[in-house]
Amino acid sequence: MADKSATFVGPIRVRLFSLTIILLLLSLLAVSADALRQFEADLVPEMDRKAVAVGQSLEKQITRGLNYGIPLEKMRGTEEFLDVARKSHVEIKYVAITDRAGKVLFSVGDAPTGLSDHLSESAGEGFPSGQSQAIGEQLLSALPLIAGVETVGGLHVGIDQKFVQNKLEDIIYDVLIVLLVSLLITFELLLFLMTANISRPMESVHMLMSRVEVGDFRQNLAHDSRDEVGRFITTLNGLINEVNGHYMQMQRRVSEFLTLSGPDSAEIRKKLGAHISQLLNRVHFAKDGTPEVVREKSLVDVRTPMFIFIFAEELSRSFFPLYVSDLYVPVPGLTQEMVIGLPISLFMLFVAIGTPFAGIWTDRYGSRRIFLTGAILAIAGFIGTGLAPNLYHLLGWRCMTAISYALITMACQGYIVAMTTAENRAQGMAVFIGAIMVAAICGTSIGGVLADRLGFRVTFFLSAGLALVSAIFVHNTFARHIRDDGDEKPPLRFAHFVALFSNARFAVLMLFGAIPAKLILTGFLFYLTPLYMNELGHSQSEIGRGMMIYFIAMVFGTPIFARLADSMGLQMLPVIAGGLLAGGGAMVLYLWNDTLGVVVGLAALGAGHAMSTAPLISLVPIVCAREIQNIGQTTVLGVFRILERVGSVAGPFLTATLVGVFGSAYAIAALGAIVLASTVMMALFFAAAGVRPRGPAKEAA
Amino acid sequence: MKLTTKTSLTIIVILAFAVVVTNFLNYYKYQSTLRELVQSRFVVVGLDIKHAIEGSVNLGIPLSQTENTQEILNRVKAGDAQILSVEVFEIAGAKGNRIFGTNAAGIGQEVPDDWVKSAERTDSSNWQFDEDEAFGVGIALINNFNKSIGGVVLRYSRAYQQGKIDAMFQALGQTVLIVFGISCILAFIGVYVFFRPISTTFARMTASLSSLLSDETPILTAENAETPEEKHYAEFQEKTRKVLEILREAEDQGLVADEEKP
Repeated sequence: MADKSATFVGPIRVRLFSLTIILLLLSLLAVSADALRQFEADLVPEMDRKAVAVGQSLEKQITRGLNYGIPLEKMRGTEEFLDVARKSHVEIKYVAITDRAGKVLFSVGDAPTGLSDHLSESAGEGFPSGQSQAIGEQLLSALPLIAGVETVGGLHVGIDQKFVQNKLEDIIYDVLIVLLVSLLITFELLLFLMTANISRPMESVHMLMSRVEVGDFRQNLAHDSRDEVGRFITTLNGLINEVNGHYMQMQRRVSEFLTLSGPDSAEIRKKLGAHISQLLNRVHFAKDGTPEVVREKSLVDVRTPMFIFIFAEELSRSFFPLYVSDLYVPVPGLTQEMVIGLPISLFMLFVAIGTPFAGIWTDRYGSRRIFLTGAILAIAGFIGTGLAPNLYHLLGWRCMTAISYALITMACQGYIVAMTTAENRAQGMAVFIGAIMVAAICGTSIGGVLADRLGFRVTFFLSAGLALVSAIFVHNTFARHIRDDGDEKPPLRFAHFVALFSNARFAVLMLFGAIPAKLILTGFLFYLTPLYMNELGHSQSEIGRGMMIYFIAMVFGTPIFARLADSMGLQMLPVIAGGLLAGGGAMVLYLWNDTLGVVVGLAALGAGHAMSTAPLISLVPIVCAREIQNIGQTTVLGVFRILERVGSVAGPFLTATLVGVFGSAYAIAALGAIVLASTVMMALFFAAAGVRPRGPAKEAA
Repeated sequence: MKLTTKTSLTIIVILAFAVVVTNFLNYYKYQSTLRELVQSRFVVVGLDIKHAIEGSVNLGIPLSQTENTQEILNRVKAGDAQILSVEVFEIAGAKGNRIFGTNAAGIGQEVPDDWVKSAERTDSSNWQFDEDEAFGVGIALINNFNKSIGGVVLRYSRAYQQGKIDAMFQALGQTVLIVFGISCILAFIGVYVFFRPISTTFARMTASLSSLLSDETPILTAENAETPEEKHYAEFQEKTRKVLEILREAEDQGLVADEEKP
């Protein structure tokens, strides 16, 4: 069925995406080109005025010298004096003093092409002031230098004609970020639109027509659109209802006939009976004439709202620690660095605590209700965070947002679990993780751009708006009664943690693999990158772009490394290689404590995590084969998920402590050293003990 | 809503987001560049005044007794319509007092503490401030012993810049509307062209289905079906038609039996 709809949908999606890219590029190009034209028309006269002001200031001081009787050509230190003026104003490229014939006596900066002709011409006219002329790539203003009543020379100030263009080039990266984010949003929305309006209804139509072809008239399709596909479905449902109606009518008449007819109608009875049994052998009708209404579901239902919600959450990623430092108040027993890390740690803690409960509530009340509850809390949390007057309010609102995060992620996971089988669940989860990563790229990068212009607080209000949009999506698309009808999940107990930690392999994997990975993620990426890049003098937009590197490496690296690891049948090697890369990358800051070091560190962290995250999870069932037999894989993975968050919670605190001791750059390097050392210890342990448990593995097999 | 409308609207929303955000980025850049340019021009003017005053101070004349300062301030203000006021203050202890100014009423009054603090800062020789009606720049006056003795403060019109910024906002807005309008039209055309096969197919299938329902000859058959969807539909239609025929025939027979009832 899917193949049949793919004949339409696949090419159209590609064409629509191409059309959107072309329209976006052309629109942005047109808007930017026009902005440059208008800026030049408007700003060049301002630059000219400034050049005249600088010229007048220089002229006054030179005239003072002339009035003391010093000849123009003998003024000492003139070039140094002119150079100070030139260097104080970025748009001024050239300053020169000429004699009355236009011969250059002193000059600093780059002379524009065609200068000498202009100077002789200007000298001939007596260096008319107030008229700047475009000479080569500069706009040249002239002022006469007068000793007493006699013009002894001219002062010339050249401004860079490309200054406005260069100013606009400052925002080229921001415009590119807008383009990238627009394209990613386009991809997400078109995916949703095409799936919800074409692919899914068409698959349903094909399914229904195929059922009818084999004589099954027992189902109708649920739909609520009034487009071409919707109208067709309405007519199709009408046909099925008509067939069932005819059958019901026929049945009624036959039954009336059989009740009323006498024994002489045996021939007709026989004929009728033959007709009906022939029909019922080939055709199935709805029981009471009312077909069952079926609604097709899709993973895109969950992908789009999840994308929007994570986008909202990630908008503040690039500036959150800076926002916290704005609201800083001393907290007894904690250093300033620790206080700034506190909201991130608390957020992670509440996500960790909230996740198991959110899972239970999702099972009990359904994904739709839990998502909507989470979205309401998120909206309140974002608005509250944006309005927080001090740190304590901020902590409260962030805890609320953390709970909403736990509720929403668990609601989405619950929806995926309910919609998938054990065979295609991994694919379903990949859809979920893909949405998170793409949203993280978009949110982190555009969040920085928005915070730069609109401020931190307004960006939180935008997050609240996006959370509302995600809630509207879920309200309209999530099936009302969808639940996971799979196996009953046992609640997590303390005994499960004890049982798993008594497995040395699990303990080592946890303590030296999973926890350090989360530790460096929250410590380096979430907490210290914004603070350190700000310390290096970067704008919010630049910080957002820097952090985006991590997510890009994850998005592109994860599938590549996962395929590579699967094809080679490796799990432990990518985990160790990833740990070494992430730790080693961060240690680069020890040598290069500058922007390049941060960029290399983030890229290595992203690539390292792309390499190790999926194999690390796939190692859990291997090292815990015995425990899985006893308490089940879901429980084991649940314990793993909760315990790894210990690293997320501890990350900002540990990093803050390291910053207090070593400073920002060396703190990142120290985090790298911790991850590197943990990975080496884990590698040594598994080299000695082996990945698979020896005795129990056989039992398990 | 038609498929083409829905899809076009989605693309239009994305285009609107990109164009509006880009336009705001351009607008903010213009605003900051204009402000920088105008401000740096007035810093140059202020530095001129500073050099003139410091020239006298360096000859040993106390700041409050520099003779031509008031004249310089009046001349500077008269030379530029954007300049609202120029004043010179002297630091005395932790306070600062206006000693010269183009606004005679203010002379002798204390200046804000921020100005004094800014003038005494060693990391920068000038500072900026915003007021409701004006922007301002301040420049520290330094004596021979490298000590701050006061400052020159120049207020310039906010309305001038705001007027230019508003005009630019409108100009950029107009461009955005034109570009956005053209993009919307292109999006509609593109989407219409891309969706035509789907729309046509579904229109034909719906019409054929309706004719089947009203017991007329369906317009779509296995022979004239073009797309895979239409072919599949034609198969479905043929089988459904047969079932309907059987049912109608059975109904007819039931009807005959009804009529034959005693």
